[in-house]
Amino acid sequence: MLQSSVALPWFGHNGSSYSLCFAKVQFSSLFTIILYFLVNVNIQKALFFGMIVIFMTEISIKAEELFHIGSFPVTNSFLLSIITLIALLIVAVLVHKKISIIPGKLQSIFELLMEQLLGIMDSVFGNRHTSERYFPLIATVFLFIMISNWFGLLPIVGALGLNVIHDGHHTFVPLLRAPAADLNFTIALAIIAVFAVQFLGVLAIGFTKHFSKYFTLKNPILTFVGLLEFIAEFVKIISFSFRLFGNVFAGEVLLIIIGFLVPYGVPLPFLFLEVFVGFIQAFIFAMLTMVFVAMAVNEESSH
Amino acid sequence: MSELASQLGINWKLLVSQGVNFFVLLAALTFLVWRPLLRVMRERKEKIEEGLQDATDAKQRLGEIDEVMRERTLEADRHAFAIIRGAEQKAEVRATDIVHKADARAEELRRAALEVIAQREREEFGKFADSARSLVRAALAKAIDAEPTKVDDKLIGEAVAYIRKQKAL
Repeated sequence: MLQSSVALPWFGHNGSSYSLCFAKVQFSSLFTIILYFLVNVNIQKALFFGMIVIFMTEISIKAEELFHIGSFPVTNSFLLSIITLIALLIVAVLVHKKISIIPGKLQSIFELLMEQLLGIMDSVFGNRHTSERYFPLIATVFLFIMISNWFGLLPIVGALGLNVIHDGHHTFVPLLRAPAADLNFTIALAIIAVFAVQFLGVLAIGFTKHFSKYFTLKNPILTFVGLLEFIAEFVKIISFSFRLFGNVFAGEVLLIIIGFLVPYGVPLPFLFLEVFVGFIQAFIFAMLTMVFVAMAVNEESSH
Repeated sequence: MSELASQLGINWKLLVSQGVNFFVLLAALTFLVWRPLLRVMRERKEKIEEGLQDATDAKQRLGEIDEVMRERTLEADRHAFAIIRGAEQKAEVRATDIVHKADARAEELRRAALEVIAQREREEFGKFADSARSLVRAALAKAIDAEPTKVDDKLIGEAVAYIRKQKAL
């Protein structure tokens, strides 16, 4: 993420504002030298950029824009999100091609994941049939977030980027960034989760019964509480999205700072910590979604 | 608000795109992975349950067969015991019968033997009597020194009767 950088001058850059800025000396890895050599076929330049490059590494809350497709801004987190999507689609196709009653290695891994998740869901939903009905949503949320987070920890993420001159000084813009370190990703997933909860609740117990949880005229206290709960449903978007964003973004900042202070060896335990954080945040997001869905589709909880 | 969103990098186009990404993945995984795998897992579970049920049934059937076999063995034992008992009783009756017959036959043979013996005794006694008569006659003839033809047959008969009487005693 932070050990090396390489300038790829053919990428465009439209400039962006940064909230935090660290002056940083980066000793490039062999990877940088080889990559630059392959790109430029110039060993002297490769060694120059590879051995010691002094520039500004900046930590930005918002994802950096790489280029535009029409008016659509392609950011580094969106790019990694697309890569994650493509990778998962490839895996999905591979799994689909080899599905059989006697599982192969890949199918076994998926089945293990599914069994564990279904076991947890059974304890919340109460039966396997209901668990299986809502399983695709919960499992996809979990898998997408977890793989996105783990992809964000790959060495190539943050190492490859644009070395641009901005306001007279070199600015390094990473080509890839963990999707969950961008609020667009987390808010989008949070909105989907919250609206899915409402939608599945309506499908399961009916529109009137579902919304009678929030809007009731039985007594003033219940009316007030219902309104608060309705507001709380939408506040969940903020809690969902900022929890995930905060954890992943904080992990990135932590790794950058640790890497800046002690570049070799020391970041390794923190990388492992971030692997765990990536898993646990995906798990929390999926589990909260599951619990809210279970509450919404359960008729008893509407009374 | 828009300023805050801008500072945080929130862009509705990116939001929608990320949402679309998620829905594409959800659809793909649902139709390519989750549902087929759930179906396969359900089928496998059903097969395993069926196998377990079959095993339980087979075990139960085996138990029933064992019970039937045990009952039949007991019945066969009882039957064999009854046959042996019957055979023993029949043998006992037959043995008793044979012994009785043998006893009767032995008695019959004994009587026949006794009769033969008596017959022989009688014959021997007849011969003895004749010899005795000749002897007495010879003795009388010698004693009276008379003509043997003059010896009184009456006296000889009395002597023989006397000897028979003595013999019977």
